Amino acid sequence: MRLTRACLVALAVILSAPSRADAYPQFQFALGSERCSACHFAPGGGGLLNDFGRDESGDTLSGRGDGRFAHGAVTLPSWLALGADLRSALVGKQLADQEPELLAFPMQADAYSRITLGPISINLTLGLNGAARGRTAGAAPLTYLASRQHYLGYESASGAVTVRAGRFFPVFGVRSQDHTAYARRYLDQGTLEEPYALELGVSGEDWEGYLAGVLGNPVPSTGAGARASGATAYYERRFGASAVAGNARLAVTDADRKITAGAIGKYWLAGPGLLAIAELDLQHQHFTTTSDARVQLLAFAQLTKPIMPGYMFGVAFQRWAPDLTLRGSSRNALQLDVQVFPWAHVEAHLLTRLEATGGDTTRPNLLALLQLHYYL
Amino acid sequence: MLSHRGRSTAVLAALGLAAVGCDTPEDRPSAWSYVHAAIVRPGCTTAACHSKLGSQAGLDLSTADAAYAVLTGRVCGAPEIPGSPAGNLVLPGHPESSRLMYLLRGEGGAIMPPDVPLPDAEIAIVERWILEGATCD
Repeated sequence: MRLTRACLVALAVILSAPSRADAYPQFQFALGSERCSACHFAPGGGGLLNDFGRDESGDTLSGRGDGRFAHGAVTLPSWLALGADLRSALVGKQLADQEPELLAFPMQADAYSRITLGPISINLTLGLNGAARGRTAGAAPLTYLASRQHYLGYESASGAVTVRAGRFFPVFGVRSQDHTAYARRYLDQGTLEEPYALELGVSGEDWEGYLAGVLGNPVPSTGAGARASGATAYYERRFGASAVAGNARLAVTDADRKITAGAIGKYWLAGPGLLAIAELDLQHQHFTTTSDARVQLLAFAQLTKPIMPGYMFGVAFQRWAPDLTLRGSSRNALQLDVQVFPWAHVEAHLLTRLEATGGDTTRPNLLALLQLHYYL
Repeated sequence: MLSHRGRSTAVLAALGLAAVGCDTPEDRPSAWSYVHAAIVRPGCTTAACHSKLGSQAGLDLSTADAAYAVLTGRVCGAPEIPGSPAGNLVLPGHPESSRLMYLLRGEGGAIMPPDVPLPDAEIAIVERWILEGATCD
């Protein structure tokens, strides 16, 4: 019984870890915007919405309500942007032969600020650490807080050149807001795994590219501990309402070295109003101490049907093979998403996932996660 | 000489075969440095769980040395001290008596990791490491 309770707490802690409020990649093209920075301050999406993004959230996305900060009750000076994300969750799961479990918990509480001084911006996120409820007695008060992002930004007058320095995820992959997505969990973009980085972004009319040098989190108490150092590169080219992108990464720790190469495709089918997104990454991992190596594969394919205003439906397939040539080591998942945006600032998201571990489809894991999301 | 299409087909076929997987857990090292880097670190040390920050249930598995000490009750590189580690998480040479194996397989009620259990192939590698003495190599 004690173990079962501990397991429930552990699951709650995992799922309640604050997820970064990322861009919803499903909105690109589907809602008329061609790039993430159309709605977000951050060049690669995520975090605070800009004025256009807030307007879109009230008009296009929800069709009702005032998407501005504090519902328009407070007008901030132009040099200041504020926001917050609150999420609560209801989870049901059944893992293979285990008893089904149901639990509810607060999931996220993060506040955002951005101060703009000409081309320079100071960006800061501060929130509650998702592990706080499971913290052992006597833990230092500061460890209950987490700052997932804090960086200095530069943006040229035209917006064509951006530089970021500090703690954030460099632009890489599809950048899903779902912190349980394989592409995040298994490619070192999990909760609180933001590294310290220096990123240069350059964009043109129909393309954008990013190069970043990454320093594994040097302050273990700020997140998931020391992570990889290295570099990332991302290049996206748009063709009307579709895009292809390539990314590459070098990640080095004291135990291993990973080299990743991947491709991303996004295609908007105007006829049926469907957005297709796919990502495929191959990763070579070399173990420093044993000189062994393995090849890993991540695959993600998603079809999204937005019915605006108010609704979005998605079906996705995910595959993670941590060791391609090791039989029975992969996991595959089929996922259904239903998202409702009843009015500006509010989202309900039901994620259901059927997962086969190690190729065993006879005893799937079932996860149902209902999130209620409010952003200020 | 293969044509461009032939090469593409060969590459795809190789990828397809690789995706099926033909190696067994016995083909992988049972060294602790491999077990930690390949299985424990990616599977157990997410921020909210057994990272240094999260340390759920008082277990910090974030580094190979810290995890080894927590699981076996021994200090990596130091002379072995006879006796069971705290909680019997890992009893060297005895996976059948090691609580870690029960947690990984979900036998007895709880399962770890609680959201995405490890595949049997990875559990088998951990089991072999214990069976072969759970050394810190």
